[in-house]
Amino acid sequence: MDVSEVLAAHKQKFKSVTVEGKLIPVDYDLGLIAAYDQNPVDEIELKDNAQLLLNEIFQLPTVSDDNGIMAMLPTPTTQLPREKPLPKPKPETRWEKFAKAKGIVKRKKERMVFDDNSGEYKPRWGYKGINDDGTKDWIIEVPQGSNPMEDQYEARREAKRERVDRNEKRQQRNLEEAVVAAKMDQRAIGRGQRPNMDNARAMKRKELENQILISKAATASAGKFDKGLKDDLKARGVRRQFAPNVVADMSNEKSESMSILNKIVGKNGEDLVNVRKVEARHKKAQM
Amino acid sequence: MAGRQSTTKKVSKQQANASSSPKKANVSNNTNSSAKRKAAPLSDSTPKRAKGGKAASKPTGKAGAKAGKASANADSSESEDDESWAYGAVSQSDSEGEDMEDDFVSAEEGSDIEVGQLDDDFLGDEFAESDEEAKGEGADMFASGGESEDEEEEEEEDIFASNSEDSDDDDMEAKSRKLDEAAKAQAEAAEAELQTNMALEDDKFVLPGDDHESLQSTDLQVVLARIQEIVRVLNNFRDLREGNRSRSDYISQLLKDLCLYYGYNEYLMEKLFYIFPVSEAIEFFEANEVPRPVTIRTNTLKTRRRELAQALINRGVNLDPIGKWSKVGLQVFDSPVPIGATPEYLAGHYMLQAASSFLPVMALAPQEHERVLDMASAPGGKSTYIAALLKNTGMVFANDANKDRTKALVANIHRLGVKNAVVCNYDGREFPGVIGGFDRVLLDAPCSGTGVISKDASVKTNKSEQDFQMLSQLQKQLVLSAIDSVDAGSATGGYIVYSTCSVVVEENEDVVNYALRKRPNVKLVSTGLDFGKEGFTRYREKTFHPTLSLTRRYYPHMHNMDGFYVAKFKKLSNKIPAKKETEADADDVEEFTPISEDSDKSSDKAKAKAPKVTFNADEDEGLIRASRAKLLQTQKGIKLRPKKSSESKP
Amino acid sequence: MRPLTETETKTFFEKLAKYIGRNITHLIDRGDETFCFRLHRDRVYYVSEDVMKRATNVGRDQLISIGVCFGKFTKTGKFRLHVTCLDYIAQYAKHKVWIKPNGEMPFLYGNHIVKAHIGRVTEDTPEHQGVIVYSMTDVPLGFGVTARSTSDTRKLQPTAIVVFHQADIGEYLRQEDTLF
Repeated sequence: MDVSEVLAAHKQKFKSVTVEGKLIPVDYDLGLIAAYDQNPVDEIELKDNAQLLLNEIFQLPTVSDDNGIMAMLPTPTTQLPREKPLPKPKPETRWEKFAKAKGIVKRKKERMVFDDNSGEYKPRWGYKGINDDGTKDWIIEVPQGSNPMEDQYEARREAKRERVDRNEKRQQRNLEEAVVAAKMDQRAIGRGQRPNMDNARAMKRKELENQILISKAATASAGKFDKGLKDDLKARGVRRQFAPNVVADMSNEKSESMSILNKIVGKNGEDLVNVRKVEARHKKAQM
Repeated sequence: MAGRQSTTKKVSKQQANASSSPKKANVSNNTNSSAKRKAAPLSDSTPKRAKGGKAASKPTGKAGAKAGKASANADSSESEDDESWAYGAVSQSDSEGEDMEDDFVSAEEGSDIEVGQLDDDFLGDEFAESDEEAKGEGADMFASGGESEDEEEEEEEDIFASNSEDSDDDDMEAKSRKLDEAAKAQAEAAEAELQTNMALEDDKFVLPGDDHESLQSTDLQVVLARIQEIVRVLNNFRDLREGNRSRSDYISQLLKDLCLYYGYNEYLMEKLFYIFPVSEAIEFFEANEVPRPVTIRTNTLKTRRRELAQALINRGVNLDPIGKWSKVGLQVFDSPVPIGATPEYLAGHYMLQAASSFLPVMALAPQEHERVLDMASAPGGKSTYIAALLKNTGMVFANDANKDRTKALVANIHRLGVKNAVVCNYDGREFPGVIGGFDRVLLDAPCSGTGVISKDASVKTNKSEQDFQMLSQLQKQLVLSAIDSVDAGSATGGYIVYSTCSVVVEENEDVVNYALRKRPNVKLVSTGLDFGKEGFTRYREKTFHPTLSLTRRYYPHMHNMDGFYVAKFKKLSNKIPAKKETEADADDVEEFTPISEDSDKSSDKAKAKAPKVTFNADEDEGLIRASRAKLLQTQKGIKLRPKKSSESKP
Repeated sequence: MRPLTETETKTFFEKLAKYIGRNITHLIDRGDETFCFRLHRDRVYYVSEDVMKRATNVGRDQLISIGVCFGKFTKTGKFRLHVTCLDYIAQYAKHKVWIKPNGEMPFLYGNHIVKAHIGRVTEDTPEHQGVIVYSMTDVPLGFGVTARSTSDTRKLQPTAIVVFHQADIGEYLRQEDTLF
C-alpha cells in the first residue's frame, strides 16, 4: 500500500518545519534553551527562530520514561554574570605573611592517609584521625631522666592540649589583628595589602592601657583620693594644639578671619555681591 | 550715746524751726561776697555738738542764729533725717536762687563751694581761699560762744584782708593760723563770760584725779564739757594750768575722754591725736563723724562734664562742680533717683568716686601712649581715670591682689568704655617679676583707712599695733616693687605715685622715707597739686628727708574730703646703687642720691675701705677648705650627737 | 589666652553678623591699629595687638581680662554676646531702635520692649533682626532682636512686644558676678 499520498496529505495539513533565508546562521546554547540571532532586527521572524530552536531541540538525544520522552540538554556554554560580589581578600595571618616572605608554597595534602598499624585509610586529622601524637600507643618507654611514676600518656595529652591552645590563641590573635587592622588602614586592605601591624599592636596596647586606667579609677572617689604607684600608668589627655598667640606676621590671622567672615556673610546674602553670578547675568542680558 | 543722740535731735528740730529766718535775711544780700561772709559764721558746724548741748539746755535766740548749719555731726541714723531736712530746704529755695548757697555750705560743713549757674566758668572761687576760710572757721567755731555777729564779721574781714594782701599760699596758712589763734583766745574769753549754767564755772579747770569717779562716768555731756575745758587749758597752758599739773596729765586725761566720746581705741587715738595740734585734732575727730559729700567723676571717654551735668539735672539731681582743682568732678547734694543706677551711670558716663581718689591720678598725670600700672586698682576708679587721661591710647595694667574685687574692677572698666586695660590678679610685690618697664606706676597702697573713718567707722576699734606694723611693712615692700617696675629711661614718664587713704605717719612719710633710703635712684618731686598740707619732715621723735615737704596731706576737716596722702617720685636711673659700692659705682650714687649727706659718708667709707680689701687666691682656697671641713664636721656632729650624748651621760 | 579656632571664629562671627553684618570687617581690619580677637576662659576679648603682646606676660590664672570682652562661649559651644561689646556694635549697627524715656527703665531692668515705648525705628528692619537699642538722647542702652518687621509693627497693639531683650547696660549691676 502506498502511503506516500496519505503522508503527503498529512504533511499538507501541517506547516513546514524548515526555515530558509538566514544570512547569518543562528547560535544556540541548548543547555539554556536559548538561541542568539545576530541578523538585523527588521529581518527577524520570531516564529522562524522559535522553529529553528525547536528543530535543534528535537535533534537532541532523548530518553523515555513514565513521564514521556525527554530531551537531554547539553551543559550551557554561555557565561552568566556573577550574582554576588567577589569575596574580599582575607587579611593574612602571621603564618601566611611569613610563608609569603620565605617563599613557602602550600601543598595540597590528601585528607586520608594509610595507617600501617590498622592497615586501613584514616583521616589525617580530626575524628578518628591518626594525629593522636602517641596517646594511643599501647606502651610508652619512660624517657631518660624523667619521673618513672609520671603518667606518660597524661604528659602527651597535656602536651597536645598545650599545642592546641597555643594555636587557638594564635588564631584569635590573627582575628583580632584583622579587626584592628580593618579599622586602622582601610586603604591598605582595599589594595589587598596587609596593613601595618605595628600600628595595630600599638593601638591594641593603648586600648588595653585605657582599660587599665579606667578600672584603676573605678573607686568611690573616681580615683581622686587614691595614691598612685611610682612609674605607674598615667592618664594621658587629649593634647589640643592651638595657633600661637604671638607670631611675627599677624596679617595672616587677619586674612584668615576675613575669609571666614566672607563665607558667613555670604551665606546670609547680606551686602555681598556674587561677582560671578552678576557677570553671567550681565552677559546673558547682552546676548 | 543715747544722751548725745537725743540732744542733737532736739537741736536739729530747733534748727529746722529757726532755719528760715537767717537765710531769708541773706537773700537780700545778693552779691556773692557779702552773702558768703554772712553765711560763714552760720556755716561752721564742727563744734556743733558742743554748742548743741548748750543750746539744748538754754534755747535762746542764739540757737536759732546758729542753726543755719546742718546737724552734720549726727549719727548715721540721724544724719539722714538732717540731710533730708537740708535738702528739703534746698528744694524749697530753688526758686529763691542765691539762697541755695547757705544751705549747701551748711550741709557741707564749712566748705564753701560756690554754687553758681552751670557754666564752664562756674568755678569762681579759689580753692585755696576756701581752704583757709574753712580752717579759720573751724578753729573759730570751736572756741565760739557768746560772740556777736558783728565781731565775727570783723574778724572774717580781717582774714580776707590778710589773705588778699598775702598771695603766697604757704605763708597764708601760717598767718591764718595765727589769726585763728588770736580769734580763739578772744572767743574763749567771751565764752567764759557767758557760761552761766555750766557745771564748771570756774576759770581754772580742775583736772579730775585718776581715782575720780567721773572717769568712769559715761555721761557724755560731762565728758564733752571736760574735753572742752582741757582743750581750753592746753591752748593757754601757762595761764590756765592748775597748780603743778603737767601738760602730759592733761593730755592723758584728754585722750581718755576722746576715746570715750568718739569711740576710738586708745592706740589709734594716740596715733591720730599727735598728728594735729590739739584743737585741730578735735576738729578731725568731729569731721570723721560726718559723711563726706557724694562726688562723681565724669568719664571723659564718653561724655563731657557739662553734658553730664545737664543730663543729671534733667533727672532732678542737684549737683555742683567739685572745685576749681578738678575739671571732671561733680558733687551731688541730693538726688531723687539712686545716683548709682541712673541710665547715665549704667552707660558709663560717670563714676562714683571719692574726691580724694582723684588726687593720686592727677599727681600721676599720665600722658597719652604711655604704659601705666595701677598696682592696687579695685574697684577701678583710679584705673579708669588713668585710662580716661590716656584717652584709650597706650595701656593700663590694672592689678589687684583680691580676686573677688577684680569683678567689680572689670565691670567698671567695661562700663566706662576702657579698651586698653589688662586686668590681672597678682600680689603687687610680685610685680617687676611679672612685667616691668612701665612709664608710670600708681600705688594706692592698702592701708588702715584712718582717713576714711567717716565711711567705715569700724576702723576706730579694730586696728591694733600689729595691723599698723604689718600694713606699713607691706607698703614698704609695695613701694619698692612699684619703683622697680618703672622704666627710668621712659621719654615722657618715669614717675611713681604713692598714696594712701590714711593719715598716720607710719603709713605715709615713713614709707616714703624708707623708699628714698632703699632706692637712691628715685627722688621726690612736686605732686602738681596746688592745695593740701605739706607732708611732715619731722614728726615726734622721727626726722625725715627734707624733700618730704613735696608730698601732700589731705584732711577731712580741712579739705572736706577723705584723709589722704600723696607722694610723687621720679625715677632717675634703672640701676639700684648698692649700699657698699666699689669705686666705679660710687660716682653714680653721688649723682642720684637724694640723701646727699648720708650717701657722701657711706661712699667715703667705701672709698676708705676699698684699698684694704684684696683678694688672694691661695688664702681663699685655705679658707674655703676650712669652712667646708667645718660644715662637714657640724653635719657629722649632728649625726653623731646621740653617740656623744651617750658618752657624756656616764 | 589664645587665638580662636576656625569653628569658634565662625560661631562668633555668625552671632556678631546678626547685629553689624559685614561691618565686622571694620573690626578685623582697622586703619589705625591692629586689633585681634583672643579667647581666654571661654570669653572672647577684642584687644589691640600691642596690649595683647604685653598681656602674654601675665599668667593664665592671673589674667582676668584684656581689652573689651565681646561675650562668651557656652558649654554647648554656642556664643553669647555680652553687653560689654555694646560700644563697638553700636558704632557699626545697621538697624537701630530708639526708646522713649518712659521705656528706658523697663528695658534696663531686662524687659522686652513694647510698641508703646518705641520712639523711632530704622526703616525696613526685617523680622528677627538684631537691633541696637538707644535712648532718645542717643545713648546706647543695649541690644535685642526684633519680633516683627517694621511694617508689621504698625498694625500691632501698643502693648505688643516689638523687640526681644538680649542684653542691656543694667546687667553691669544685675549680673556683675556672672558677667565677668
